[in-house]
Amino acid sequence: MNNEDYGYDYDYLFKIVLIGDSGVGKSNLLSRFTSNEFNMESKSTIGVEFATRTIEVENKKIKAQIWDTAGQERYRAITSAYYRGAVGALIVYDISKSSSYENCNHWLMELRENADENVAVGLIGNKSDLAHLRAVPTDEAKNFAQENQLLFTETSALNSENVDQAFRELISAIYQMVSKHQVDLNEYGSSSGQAPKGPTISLTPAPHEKAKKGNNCC
Amino acid sequence: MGVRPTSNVYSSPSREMYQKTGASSTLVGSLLKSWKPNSSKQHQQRSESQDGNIEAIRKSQTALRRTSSHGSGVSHMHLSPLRNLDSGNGGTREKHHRSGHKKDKYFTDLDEDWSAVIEDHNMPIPMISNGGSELKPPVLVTARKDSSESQSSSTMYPPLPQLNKSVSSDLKSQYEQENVRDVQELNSFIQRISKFEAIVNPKNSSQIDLHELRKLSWNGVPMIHRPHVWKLLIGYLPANVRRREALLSRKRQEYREGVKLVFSEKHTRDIPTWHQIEIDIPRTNPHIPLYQFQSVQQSLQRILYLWAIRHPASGYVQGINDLVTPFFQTFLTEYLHPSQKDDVYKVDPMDYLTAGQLEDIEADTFWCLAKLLEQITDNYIHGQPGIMKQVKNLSQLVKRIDTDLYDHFARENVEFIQFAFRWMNCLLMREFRMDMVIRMWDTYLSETSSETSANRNFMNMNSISASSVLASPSSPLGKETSNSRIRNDGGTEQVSRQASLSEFHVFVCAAFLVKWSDKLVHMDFQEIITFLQNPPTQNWKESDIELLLSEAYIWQSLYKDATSHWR
Repeated sequence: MNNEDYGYDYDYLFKIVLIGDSGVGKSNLLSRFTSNEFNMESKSTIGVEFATRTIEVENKKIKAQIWDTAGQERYRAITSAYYRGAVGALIVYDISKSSSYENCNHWLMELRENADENVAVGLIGNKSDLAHLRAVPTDEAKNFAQENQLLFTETSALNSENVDQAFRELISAIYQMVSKHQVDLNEYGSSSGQAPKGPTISLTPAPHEKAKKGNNCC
Repeated sequence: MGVRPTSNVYSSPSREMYQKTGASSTLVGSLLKSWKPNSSKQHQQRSESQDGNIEAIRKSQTALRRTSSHGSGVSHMHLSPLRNLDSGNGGTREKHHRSGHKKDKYFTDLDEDWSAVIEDHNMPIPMISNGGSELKPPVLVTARKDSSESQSSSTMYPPLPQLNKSVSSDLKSQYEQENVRDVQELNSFIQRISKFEAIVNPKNSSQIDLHELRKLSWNGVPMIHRPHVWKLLIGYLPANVRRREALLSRKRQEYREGVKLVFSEKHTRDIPTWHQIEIDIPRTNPHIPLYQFQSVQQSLQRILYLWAIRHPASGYVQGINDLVTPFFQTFLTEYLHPSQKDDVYKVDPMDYLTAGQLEDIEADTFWCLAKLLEQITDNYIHGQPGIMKQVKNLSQLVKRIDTDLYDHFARENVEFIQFAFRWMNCLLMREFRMDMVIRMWDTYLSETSSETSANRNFMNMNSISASSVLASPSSPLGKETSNSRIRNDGGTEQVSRQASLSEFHVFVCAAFLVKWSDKLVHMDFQEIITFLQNPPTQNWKESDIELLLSEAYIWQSLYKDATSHWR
C-alpha cells in the first residue's frame, strides 16, 4: 500500500496523544498498533516520539498521527505542549502497578487543562498479560472510566490483545464526533486525493513558538 | 584521507552561496558541500579496496619521506590544522606567527598527511621515515601493539621483510600497499600513544599541561589512556600529579560515605526518584550485555540515586541514565588486560574486579557524571531551559547554514523541538552506537574547559585565526576575516564553563542535521520526523564521527561572532 505520497490518500488526519506514567508501556502500545512490533529492549522515551497508521472507519481512510510522550514528570512542560490540537488521547496505566492507575486522575486533569475541550479520551489498562500480578481490578477502572466518560480497554502490547481494538474505538469515537458535529469539514479534509496539503484536524503544535521572535543574529 | 579542503577552496571559492550568511560562510559552504560527496565516496572506496589507490599511496610515501610524519591521517584528518592553531598553551604572538607561517603548507601540500599535527616537527619522537623502507622498529610495531589496544590485528600481515622489499622496489601489488598503509597507521597510532604518555606523565614537572591534553584529546584518545585522560579533562583529577592520589582516595571515600548514608536509616528514601531510576536501569543500553549484569545495574542505581539526592534542583531526569554509561564503561577498561579491553561491553565486571575496585569505579563515575552535569544543569531543571535554548539556537543556526532545509521544515510544519529535544537531552547518545559515543566524548570532554577567562580569550582569538587560515591569503575573504579577528581580540568574551560544551553540541547537531539535508528536503512532515527519530547511523565509523565533529568545529569558528549572544 502506497500511502506515502504526501499522505493524500486519507480522508482525515487525527492527532492523538499517548500519556501515562513512565514504564506502563506506551511506546510498545504504539509500536504494536503502528507496526505490529513489540520490543523487549526498548529504551525510555525522551520528550516525544511519533508514529502513524492509516485505518478505515466507515469507508473513510483515517490517518492516526500518534504522539507518544515521556512519562516522567520533568518532561511535562514539553509533552503537554503536544496536547494542544489533539483530537484524541489515550491515558495508559499498568494493571500491575496501582500507582500508575491512581495517577490517571492526574493525567486526566492535565489533559483537560491543556487539550481542546472535546478531545476524545480512552483509558487503557496495559500489561493484561500480567494477570497474576494484577493490582488494579478491572471493574474499578471501568467505573472510573464511566464516571469520566472515557472509553476503556485492557490491553497487552506484549501479546497484542485488544491493542488494535483500543485504538480503533478511539478513532471511531473521534470520527463519530467529527461527522456528527460537522465541525469545519473543509478544514478536516475532503475526498481522497483531493485533500490540500495538511488537511489535518490539527497538526503539530508549536511548543516553542516564542523562540522564533526577536532573535536576529548579526 | 584525501579530503582536501584546500583544493576545493581554491578551485571553487564561491560554488555554493548561502545568501544569508557572510562571505566567509560561502567559503565554508563550498568547502562542506564539496566534502559531503567526497567523504561518502571515500568511505565507499575504502570499504571496497581498503584504499588501494596507488596514486594516493605513492603520494603518502612521498609525504612520509619528506616530512617523516605519520601517514595515516585516517581519522585525524582535517581537524588538526584548526586545532593546532587553537593551541592555548599560554601562547604568544610568536606562536601565532609560526602557525601562520606553517599554514602555507596546508595550501600547497596536497599529500595525504597535509593535516599532520604541527607539533610533530618540534617533538623529537623517533619516527619511521622513508615511507617505511627503514622499518627499523618492526619489533616495536608488534611489541607495542600487544601492550596497547590493537585496532588492527597483526596476525593478518605477512612477514615484514617482504614488506621492506616491496617498498624498496616499486610498489607492485595492492596487497603490499595495503600493508604499508597499515604499518603507517600503526606507527602513527603508536606515536599518538606516546604523545599521550608524555603529557600524562610529565617528566620534568608535576603539572600536567591540560591545554596540550585538550588539544590532543580533541582528535581522539587511545583507549589505553582514555580512563585517565577523561578524568583529567572533566576536571576530576587535578593537573598536579602529586595531588592525584590524595584526591582520589578522598573522593572515593566521600562517595562511599554518601552511599552508606542514603542506604542507612538516617535517610528517608525518595520513593518516586528511586522508582524512576529503577525502571530506567533495565532500559539503559538494553542492547549491550554489560548493562544486563546485576552488578552493573546495582552500581548505576546507586550512582544515579545518590546524584539525584544531592542535586534536588534537577533531580533524576530520564536520559541521565544514558549519560552515566560512557564513564562507567570507560573506567571499567582500566582494569582489563589490554587484550580484553574491547570486550568490556560483554564481560561481567565481577569476573575481574574486586568489590572494592568496583566501588572505586563507581565513585569515579559518580564524580565525573557530576562534573559533566554541572556544565549542563540547565538541561534538567524545571522547564529544561537549557534544552529550549539549545533547540532555539539550533534552528537559528540551521536557518543560516542551510536555508533550503530550514524553509522546507517551515513549510512542512516541522518544529525543531520535535526531533532535537532528545538530541540535546541525551547529547546525541541515542543517535549513535556506544563506541561512537565514546569517541565523540573524547572531543566533548576536551570542550569542557575550566580555563580562566583570560585563557579563554586567547583560545577564542586563536580559533578565529583558524578561520582566517581557511580563507587563504590570496582570497578576497582574507581581509574580512582578519578584521573580524581584530574585533574579537578587543572583545571581552567571557566564556563560562557551561557555555562551551552546550554551545559546541549545538554545532554538532547542526552538522548532523545538515548531513541529511539532501534527503530531508524531499520528505514530508511524517517522513522527516520518522527519519530523524531513527537516523541511519548504524554503520557509522569513527571517521564519520570525526568528520561530523570537524564540520561542527568549522561552523563554530565561522559563526563565533554571530553566536556570541548565545552565552
